[in-house]
Amino acid sequence: MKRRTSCLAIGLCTVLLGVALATTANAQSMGGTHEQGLINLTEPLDVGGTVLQPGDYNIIVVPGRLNRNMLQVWNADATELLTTLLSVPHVEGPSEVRVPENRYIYYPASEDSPRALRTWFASNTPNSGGHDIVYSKARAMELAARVAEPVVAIPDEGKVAEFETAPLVVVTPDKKVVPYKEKVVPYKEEVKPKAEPVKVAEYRKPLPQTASNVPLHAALGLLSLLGALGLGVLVRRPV
Amino acid sequence: MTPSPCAARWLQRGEITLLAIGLTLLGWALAAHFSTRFYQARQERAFFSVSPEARPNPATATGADPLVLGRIEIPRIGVTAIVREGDDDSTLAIAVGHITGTARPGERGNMALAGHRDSFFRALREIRHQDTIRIVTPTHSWEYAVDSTEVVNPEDTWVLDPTSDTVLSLVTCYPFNYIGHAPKRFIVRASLVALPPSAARAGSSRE
Repeated sequence: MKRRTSCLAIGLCTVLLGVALATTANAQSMGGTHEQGLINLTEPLDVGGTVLQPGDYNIIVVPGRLNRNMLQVWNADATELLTTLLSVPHVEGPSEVRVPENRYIYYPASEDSPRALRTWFASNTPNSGGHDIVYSKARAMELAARVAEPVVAIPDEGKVAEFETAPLVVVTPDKKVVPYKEKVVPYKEEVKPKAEPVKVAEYRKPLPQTASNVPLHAALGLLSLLGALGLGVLVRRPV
Repeated sequence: MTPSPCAARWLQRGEITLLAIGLTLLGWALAAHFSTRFYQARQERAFFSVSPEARPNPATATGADPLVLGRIEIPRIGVTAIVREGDDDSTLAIAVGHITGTARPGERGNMALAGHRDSFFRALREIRHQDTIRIVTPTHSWEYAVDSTEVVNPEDTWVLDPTSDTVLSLVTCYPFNYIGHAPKRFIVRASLVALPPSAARAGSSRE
């Protein structure tokens, strides 16, 4: 009787362990393999119009249309979504920048406003560059004048639902507003239309593996239980 | 013949060990199965139980996964599943995955979706020429007709190449009754045939 109870307890514990592990695996899947990064702040930071206080935050990319993405900022343990903002691909010089680690570039603080995030480069994401943060037009005018660089802006206080479709503009240091043309170049540089066709993504990795481990786990589990049953019969075989 | 006391003790330990392993694996499999079903049901509620005008806001909709693109339906063989961005293992465990870099719903080109052959895409073994495949988002719906099926190697990535027409490629493992990672891939190719009137207006603006 005592042995049967302990067997039952062990079985229950292992089932709970299996459930916990599987649930954890599923929870982790929400992040998937999309670009994400951790940012540690020691002073307040304006991120797309939301001021984050000192602390740790997670940033994740929600892929969007070709020329823009949504970035989500979560708290340190990724249980609370703090803000969603818009970004455009960053271009530095003639080619895209690729970096092995998370890197952040900031607009400097002023007397009445904190530093603002200019660009985030996610780590370990080949074939992608940085993300330039998009600000509201009023904030972009302030930032553009402060750093004497053009800043990409969303014309009005954008709602998250409209991020994918809202027209983007570029605010210049002298407060001119011009339409956004895919890539932001230094303000005084002449923008030459690209004649070459749009590049398409190249697929070098094989087609995805589309077999689940669940049936295999279930089959092995059943075999193990049958084995346990067989051993149990052997042990308790009457003399 | 009765086992000696020493052998009996070892047999009992083996019994408990196998019992623990068996229950763990079965618990894992059951939990994975039910968490997938829970995810599908939750996203179905979040994205498709609202009125068409109220497009869900990924940041605020309760339980809504912002990486969800829509739903795939193949009515004749009973396939219905949420489509999520990405083709990594964790995505394919809970949804049909949109292979990143291929066309998205409503865009001209080749949209490729991957799904497990032992869950969401199990019924693809019964797919036939001219079967209807629907891609549904909260605001639009696109209907495709199956043109062809073929078996390729995992390295045959040409099936993901962009196209000038609007086509849909479904990718799953082959053979269907293989246990573990199968050596081939089963490809279903379908062409866009119809847009409902409401979708046609909006879809044409993107195409």
